[in-house]
Amino acid sequence: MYTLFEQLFREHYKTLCYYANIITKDMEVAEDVVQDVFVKCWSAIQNEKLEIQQEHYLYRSVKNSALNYIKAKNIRQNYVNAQKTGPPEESTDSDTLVATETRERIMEAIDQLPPQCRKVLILCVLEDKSYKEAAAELGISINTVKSQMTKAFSILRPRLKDLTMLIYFL
Amino acid sequence: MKDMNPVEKAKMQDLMIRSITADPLTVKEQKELSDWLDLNLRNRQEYDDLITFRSLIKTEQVNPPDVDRAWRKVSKRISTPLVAPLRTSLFPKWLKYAAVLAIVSAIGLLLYRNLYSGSGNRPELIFAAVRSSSHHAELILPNGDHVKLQDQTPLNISGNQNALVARNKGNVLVYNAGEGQQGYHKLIVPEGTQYEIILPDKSHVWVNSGSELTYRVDFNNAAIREVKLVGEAYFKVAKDKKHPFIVKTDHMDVEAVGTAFNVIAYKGGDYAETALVEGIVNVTDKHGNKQRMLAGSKIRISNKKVNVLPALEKVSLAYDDYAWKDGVFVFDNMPLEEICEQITRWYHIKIVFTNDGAKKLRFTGSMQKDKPLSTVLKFISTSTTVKFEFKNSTLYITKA
Repeated sequence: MYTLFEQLFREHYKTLCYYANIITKDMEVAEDVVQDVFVKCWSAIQNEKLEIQQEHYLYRSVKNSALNYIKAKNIRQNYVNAQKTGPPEESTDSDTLVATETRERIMEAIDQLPPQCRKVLILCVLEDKSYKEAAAELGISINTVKSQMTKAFSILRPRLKDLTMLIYFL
Repeated sequence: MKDMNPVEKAKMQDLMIRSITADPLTVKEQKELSDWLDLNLRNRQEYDDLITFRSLIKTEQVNPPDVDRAWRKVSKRISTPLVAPLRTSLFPKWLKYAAVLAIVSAIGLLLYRNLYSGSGNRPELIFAAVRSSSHHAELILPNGDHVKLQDQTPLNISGNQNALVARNKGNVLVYNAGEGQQGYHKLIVPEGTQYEIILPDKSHVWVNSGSELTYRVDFNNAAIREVKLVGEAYFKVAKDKKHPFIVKTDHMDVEAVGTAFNVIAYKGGDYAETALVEGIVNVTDKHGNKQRMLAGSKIRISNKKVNVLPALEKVSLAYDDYAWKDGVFVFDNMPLEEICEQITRWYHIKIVFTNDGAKKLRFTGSMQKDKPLSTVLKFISTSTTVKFEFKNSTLYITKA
């Protein structure tokens, strides 16, 4: 079980960190979040509440933990701002709030992609890997990387449609 | 896009997607893409959406995570034993301590004499006078009355209608399950003493020096068994799945069903800590981050780091984390700085380190807490090179 768990960890750790970093915007925090999720996951497996191969569970937990972190941080930030003298800077607060909500929606969309699609997308867009490097890392052909990317965006596109509009509103 | 054939459309999609990745477009491809984007507004809009998407999710210049390092950290955290290690490891550990103790005390006396033989005033004599438990614990009743809990004489505490609420005997306060009582009781345990209390639900709490515990008298009628703690206490919670037992502190809340755990949350302390000995508890920090703890682990929230860490820091648990409840000091390779925190509270003295070097020195040994201060200092001075000086009820520690 332990070996299986280590495999699971090594297979997904890096990708999950980049995934968490979408919302934490701080890789150190992202790493903490992901490590915590794995530790929790381990105890859930020990208590027989979780099967070991639960990739989807990992992504969902990482997303929720990262969001909890960022929400707590925003609340603290708002509190600090409120303590400051002078007029409150409304705009920056709502900025981060809307941006967080938008990122949350994007993460949900990524979360729902088929596993290989998701991995390819994170590798190529977030980890700055070329198609060739991504193909080598996953042990698939460059053409598969290409088709997975096309597939990922054909699923994401309808959800991205109003993004630009939303951002222009800010 | 209606006017394009599917092959060309797919090619443009591919180019657009590749343009937001690290996969470089050739000059020719770049030209093709920009021509296509200029073709109509819809194309441009689609491309803009992609760019926005990328800018929203991507952080530039990221230090890539180190998987090996992370695995070392995680494997350490998950290797804490699942079942409380006490039953098996406690006894041998005690024997080990006992052996250390015997040797240490023998050599200790010799060394101690040598160490102080030059100085004019014999600290031994002063330290010998510094003992604990010169103070009594107090109970504050709902009407604001303070009741002194004497060590020797049995004491009955009555509520309204003179119904018996609790009995005090020795250093133990025992509550009746009696219903119809109302209001809160607050147990104040001063420095230099510790107290045991058995709550109406039969949960057993050991309250350490310099701590306060507040709880409802009609504990059994509440949906949630809630106590508030400032300081340190060890809880052995009576099983009752329908009524969760929650320890509230300034920095974290600990929720248990039926388990044993130690909570440290001193006012002005650098950290709050929960050490779980048996069972399972949930710990929630003040930002609502919740974690489930397993037996044999320890969670610490540092005040200094509270704005940085979303994660609760976890360490594995040892007997010296809660040995105090059995009336002993147990130091297992503990830094002098932490030892002195315990000594300060127990002997009610001030301790000053004249240089930082001494703080990090580590010491191993165990001792009954009813011994005078001199005995503790004797132990410490045998295996570590520190000098003690006692002036105006302050103990000065210097690394020799």
